[in-house]
Amino acid sequence: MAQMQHFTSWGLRKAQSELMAPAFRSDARLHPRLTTLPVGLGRSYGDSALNDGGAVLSNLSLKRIISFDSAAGLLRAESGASFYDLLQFLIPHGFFLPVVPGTQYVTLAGAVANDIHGKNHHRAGNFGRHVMRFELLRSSGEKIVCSREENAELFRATIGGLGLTGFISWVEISVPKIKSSIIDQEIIPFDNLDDYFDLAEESDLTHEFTMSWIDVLSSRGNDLRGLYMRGNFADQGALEFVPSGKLLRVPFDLPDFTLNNFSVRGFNSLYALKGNFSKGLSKISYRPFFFPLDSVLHWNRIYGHSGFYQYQLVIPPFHAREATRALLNEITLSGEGSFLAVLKNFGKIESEGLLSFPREGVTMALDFRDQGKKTLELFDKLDRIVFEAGGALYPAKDGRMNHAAFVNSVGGEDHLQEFAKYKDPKFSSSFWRRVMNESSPA
Amino acid sequence: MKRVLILGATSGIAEAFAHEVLKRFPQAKLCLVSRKLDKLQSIRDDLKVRFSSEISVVAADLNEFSAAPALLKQCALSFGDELGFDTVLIAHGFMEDEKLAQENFVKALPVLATNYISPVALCTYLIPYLGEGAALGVISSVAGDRGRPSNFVYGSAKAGLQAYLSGLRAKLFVKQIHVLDIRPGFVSTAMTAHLDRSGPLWATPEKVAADIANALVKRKDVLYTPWFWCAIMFIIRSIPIRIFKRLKL
Repeated sequence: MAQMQHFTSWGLRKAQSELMAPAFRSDARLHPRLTTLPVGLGRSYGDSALNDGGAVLSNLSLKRIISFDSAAGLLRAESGASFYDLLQFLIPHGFFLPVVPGTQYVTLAGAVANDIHGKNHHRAGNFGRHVMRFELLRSSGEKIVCSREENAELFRATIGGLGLTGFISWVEISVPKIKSSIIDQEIIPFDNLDDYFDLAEESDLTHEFTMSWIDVLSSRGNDLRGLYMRGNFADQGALEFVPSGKLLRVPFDLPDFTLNNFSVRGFNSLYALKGNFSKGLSKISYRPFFFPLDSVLHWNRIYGHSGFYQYQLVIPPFHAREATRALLNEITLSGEGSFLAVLKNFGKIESEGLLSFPREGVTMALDFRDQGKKTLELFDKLDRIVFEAGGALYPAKDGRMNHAAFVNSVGGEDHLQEFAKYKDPKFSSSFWRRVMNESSPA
Repeated sequence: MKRVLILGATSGIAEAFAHEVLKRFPQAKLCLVSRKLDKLQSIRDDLKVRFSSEISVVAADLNEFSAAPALLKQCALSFGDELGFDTVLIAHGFMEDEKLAQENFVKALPVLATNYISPVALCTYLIPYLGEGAALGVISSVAGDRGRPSNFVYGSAKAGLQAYLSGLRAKLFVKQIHVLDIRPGFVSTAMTAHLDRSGPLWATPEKVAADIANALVKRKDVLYTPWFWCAIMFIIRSIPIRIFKRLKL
């Protein structure tokens, strides 16, 4: 009865899979024949949330809250609850989510499976640190509750485990109190990379949320134009959830020529101008502060039909400055513009996940239009710089890394072998088969 | 809406409707009925955390027609008094692989039972619990507007239900009990998960639930939801039979 359907990742990679979408936790089943991959809102850029030729088990109907203990700050909800849904509930109660990414359209299980990070990594670590327990449905039919106390190994393998250890049916997290949903924001323009690092060092001590936007095209030697953004929740103000309301929507894939070096340059200049106008202190709602791109639905379509890659890396502190400079030089040499580029320092709080990406150092996220071989060759050059500096790439963003890069990124063969013990044999993804050089299902 | 009964409460539209009711009327009491207790409980837990309202759940098979009077009594008593209901939504439905149902009557029977006989039984026994000013909403379907080769077993059950509601509406009019015939188009719920749901005709259960709540408040007789199905079905009903029979709709 079920048929193969088209699925598209956020970077517009494509796959055919059979869809299973249970309405209740007790209805969740694995596919009897094909490999299964749990999927949520599809914000992963590459192929980590695709399972070409297999089945995908969607959690999007599983978005119920199970319990909320406001005294202890504990929230238990079904795995498909989106951050948007949860903030709608939490903010009026005076709570927020412990870690949020750049979009509120991710699910709880997706946040666990990718062990996501946010602007407060230097204070809060990544999302997994705030997960208390979850229930995992395995292909054996068992439902296993995992926490730091029970089934701790499976807990660690599932955090950042890319959905390959089983289907997460619910998650319990600790949620922080807020006094208002307003952010005291400060924007500081900078002109070179050293200034960035100085700002980051200083701001991480004074601000809960920090990140910066950089104009890669302005990079010359040490010169680099950017905006440093830092903020704290205000002590006073409204506790107001901002509904999505009427949003701009990119209705279809724009023509491939929409984004070229000229338009990227233009956009980045405009953004810098806007930053210069809004520099200094201001009070803004949490939504534009944390989720600026959420006001345009399907912004990924501006990259045209051929799609795009995101390349996100982290470099440990010791090599951070010189490796970042080398990466920027390499990108400048290639002549490729990056529409959105983000720079942020990760703090010392370690990830518990076996395969988790975030670790101490500087992280940079870059978008590149997919121009085939040319783009892939640039990535190979960037890889060399990243791994020589002892860095790592982020699987949730990746659509092209090879086995060696994956091994490096997850901290070596040992980690991968440890993970293999807990990976569910009936679960797979396009990403997993690619980086492990496994053949596709017939 | 103060005393709301939802039959078939685990359907996607019904669950969204329960949320919609409490969003608009946080003081409303709800009674939710469906076959599976664990599912009812997960819906109730969610509603309680969000709205902290009074919600009772009753597990029952709505196709056991003879048990309907006792079931409705139990639901009414769950509110702790004997005032009955001011709003009722009958939301359960069942879709079988249509090809199977057309070729094998054993497969067609549950389609007819769940989509036609069961709502008729429930409406019959419900009337004593409905006072003046009460509203009864029943989900039929655009599929009941005209029998089409692609789903006429399901469609015929829904058509029977539409005819029944039309008569019931007129009969209850003098008692000032309102009857709403709800005709959703394509809705993204578990019942349709096996279909390819891309395309502009598909609506979310939340949108449909909001339409239903509006229609109950405004005392509409027939609701097409989303609205454009009214136009689509008007065209489909207008096609002459000698042409219609040649179409593979």
